Amino acid sequence: MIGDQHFWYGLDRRAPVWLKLIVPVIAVTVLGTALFGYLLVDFMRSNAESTSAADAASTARAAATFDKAAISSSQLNAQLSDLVADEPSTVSVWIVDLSSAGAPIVASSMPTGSPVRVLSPSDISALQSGASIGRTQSLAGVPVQVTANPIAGNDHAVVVVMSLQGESSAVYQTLLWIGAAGLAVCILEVALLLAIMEIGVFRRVRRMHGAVNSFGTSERRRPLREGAEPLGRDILFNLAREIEQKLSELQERERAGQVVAELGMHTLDGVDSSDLTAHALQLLRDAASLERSMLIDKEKGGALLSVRGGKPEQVEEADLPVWLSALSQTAADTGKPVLAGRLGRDPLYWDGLSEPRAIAAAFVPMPGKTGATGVMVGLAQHGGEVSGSTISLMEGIATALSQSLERQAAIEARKESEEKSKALATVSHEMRNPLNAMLGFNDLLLSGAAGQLNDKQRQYLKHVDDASRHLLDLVNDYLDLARVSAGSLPMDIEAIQVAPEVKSVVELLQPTADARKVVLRAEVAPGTFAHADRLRLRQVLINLVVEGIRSTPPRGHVRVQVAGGSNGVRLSVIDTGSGIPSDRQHLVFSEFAELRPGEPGDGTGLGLALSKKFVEAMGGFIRFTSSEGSGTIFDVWLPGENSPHADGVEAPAEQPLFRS
Amino acid sequence: MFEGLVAILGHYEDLDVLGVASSAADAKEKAKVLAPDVLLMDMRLENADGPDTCAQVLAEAPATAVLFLSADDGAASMDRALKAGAAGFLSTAVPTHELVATIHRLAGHQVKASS
Repeated sequence: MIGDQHFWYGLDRRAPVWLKLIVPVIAVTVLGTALFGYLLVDFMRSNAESTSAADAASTARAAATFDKAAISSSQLNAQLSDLVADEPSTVSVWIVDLSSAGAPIVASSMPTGSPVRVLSPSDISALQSGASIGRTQSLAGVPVQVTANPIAGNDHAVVVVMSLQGESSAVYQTLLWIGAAGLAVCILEVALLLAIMEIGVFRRVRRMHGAVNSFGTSERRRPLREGAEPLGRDILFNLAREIEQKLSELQERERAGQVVAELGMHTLDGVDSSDLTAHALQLLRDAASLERSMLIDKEKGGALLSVRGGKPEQVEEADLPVWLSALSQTAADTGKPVLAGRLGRDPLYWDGLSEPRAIAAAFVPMPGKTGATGVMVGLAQHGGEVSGSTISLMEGIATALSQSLERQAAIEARKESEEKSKALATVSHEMRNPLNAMLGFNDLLLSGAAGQLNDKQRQYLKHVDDASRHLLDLVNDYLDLARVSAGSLPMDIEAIQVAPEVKSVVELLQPTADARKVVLRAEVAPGTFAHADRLRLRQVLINLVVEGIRSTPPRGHVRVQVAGGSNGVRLSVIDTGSGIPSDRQHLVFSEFAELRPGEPGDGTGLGLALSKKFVEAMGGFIRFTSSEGSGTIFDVWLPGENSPHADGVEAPAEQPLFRS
Repeated sequence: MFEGLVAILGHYEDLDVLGVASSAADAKEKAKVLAPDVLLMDMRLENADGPDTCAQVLAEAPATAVLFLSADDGAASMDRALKAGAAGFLSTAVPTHELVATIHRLAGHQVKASS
């Protein structure tokens, strides 16, 4: 069974389609011709037999009328010969004597030759009993019709032998004609079938094959004619149409993929952002065969145009035609593509001097974090349309470009920030020694070591001291930040009691709070341990409390709460201050961030950034919640004495589920 | 298109978009109530003809300058608009700054036609 399947499958695979089509056509034609020939020959033969039988019968009747007694035997022979001469297919006519043994011939149409015996003894006895005989037989290789009728009281019989030679040659000729006609019909059918198949099927299939084959190679694909037409009733036509559409879709996607990949490569190469945009526009224009492509920058209010065969040019948005500006604005506002099907005017002629041409255009917004950052515009060639696939391509490019630009901006910003940090760290380090010298000499002056000072001098020197200390704080904070960011700040992590630290910090900052008329309180449960660096924890607490006091108006409150158990400690600094505006909240832990624009910042601007780094370096984390006008809560989680995450503390191998 | 146009004109600090009319009746009503210096109109409005509406608007608010802004910028259209009493005609193919400058000029009611 399996072998059979293989055989048929192999035959199916090896035999070409045209062969499969013409084999049944030929077979049916041959069978039909043969059947028709057989039926026709059969009919002709029976017709010939009945005709010759009738002829023979009439000849026999004629012979029976002759009176053998009345005329001599030679006269009878002559009369029989005349009968034979009248009927061209009659071979011979005899009269036999049935009463004598062996039925001897008494008269014959061919007296000179010896007649061939055609009657068998059974024929003779049949004739004697008055029956007639009529049959065809072969006589010396010639088909003949033998007819015998008894006459004269069954004493004699007339035997007529008629040749069927002429009939059989007519049948043979007819058969030849039928065969020839069958062959001609067969050839005509095959030719017609192949012609129709070639035009309607094979050609189309070959084209589809070519189209599919050339896809993905560098060969330029010729579009199938069916692709642009509506669905038909021919499944092959529809298949070709589907293939064409799917291939163009695939091609667009491939193009978009290539464009996106190319943009990615350029981003990695660190290409300048305006070059990147120009490149994306060129790629779009070439890939979608546009007249021109452009990017309207909604943030800077300008447009970058890419014209076929030229370098991109920069244009002010106000110089763009009204329709183009308006539609691009619509695309930017709605965040959805806008298609102007030949409604627009060709901006090539926006100087207003030439006759403007109708042109189709598509507007695709560039997605940004807060709405569209710009609009990518594609202008079709004169008389052309912007297809749906071009819009998909534009969307792909717009997304890729905006992502690339964002990534590039982030990379640039990080690089800039790194360079700045490095330079600042170096400067800070270099500033520390002169600052310490200034503070030292200032102290000496204040202590009166260089002579007595009057009140004014003392006051001024105090200002110098304050300012220098602030600067030293800043330098120290900055250096700490640089070192903790680089991971080079040593941390002395140990289990420390939180309550005394909190109390000490609150006492330290009480005068500051009092000066601003802010109520500062601590709510600490004794006996809470945290795994932390004592010095850095104090720094974090100071920074958070100072930040709380600073943002709280007079008669406001700042509370420090500590809660937790053996696994972790939460320190909360809660103020009833002005809160952090929601659009600034993402900057809370950034360096030198201005959290409340308009309010004077009297700190180093590094406190919160440094606190976050310190807490993280101690294995904890820091969060905040803030609502404008009602205050801010900073929560610091630190590992507790049993915390499995605490540095230097090994977690017990087995934790009991319940403690007795 | 007019949503985009409104947004663009809104960017110019010396221009105020007082209102947007969605029909001929609305245009007449708003022109009367808001009394704008300049009223922008297209040749084809939804279910209405621009020049006809222009004449109706001018009957209600004669002090308003009607400026046509249309892609339908053939000479015949321009003629019809100006005959209907339009103060100016601009094709949508003109640069935005020209539109803005024309609006400013029309606030002083000068006739300006451009394609």
